[in-house]
Amino acid sequence: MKKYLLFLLAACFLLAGCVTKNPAFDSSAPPSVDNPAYVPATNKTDLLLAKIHTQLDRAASLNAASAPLNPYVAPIDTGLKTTRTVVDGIFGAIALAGVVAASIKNKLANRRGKALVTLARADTNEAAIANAPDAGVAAEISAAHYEAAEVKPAS
Amino acid sequence: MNTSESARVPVWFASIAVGAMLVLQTWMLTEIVNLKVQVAEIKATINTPTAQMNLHKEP
Repeated sequence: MKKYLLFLLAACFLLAGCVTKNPAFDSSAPPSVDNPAYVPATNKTDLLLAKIHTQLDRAASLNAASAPLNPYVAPIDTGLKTTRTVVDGIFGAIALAGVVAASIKNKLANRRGKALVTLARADTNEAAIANAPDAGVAAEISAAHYEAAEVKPAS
Repeated sequence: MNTSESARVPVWFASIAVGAMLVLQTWMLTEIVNLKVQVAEIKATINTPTAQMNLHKEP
């Protein structure tokens, strides 16, 4: 009960403060067009709403005018995002194809090297060996050939 | 600042990068074709009867 009375007293003080501070109730102010006290209380809400709408319209027009110049506002364009994604995918595919091509090239180079070694072993310079004056020279030619080819003779 | 905007690379840089990649890959494809031809020729030479006989002959 005591709390309720205190609350009621506070509410009365608050209401009294609002009434006395409100220019609409300020009878001492000179009546004029600019003075809100001159405006009837019923029109004050309309005036306030009109002011709010004016401010809102102004803010909207300012926002619309400054949006393209504002670097902190990213343009929301799903089409552009899709294009960027597709371009990024093409770039990635090209890079991946490059890696695959390099791998294939390396594998083929290794295969070519092995085939060349086999070819060197197969080509024993038979003409020189056949024309050698004796078996010792023929053996030397053959050994030199294998040494030049950097391969071991077939066992 | 928007990170996606700042992370974008210039168009000229992307164009040069893609062009360089395409040139490199064209060269690699040419090399691949050349290597395939060379390997085929070498294998054909190795597979001749004389070469096969020499391969299994003592030096």
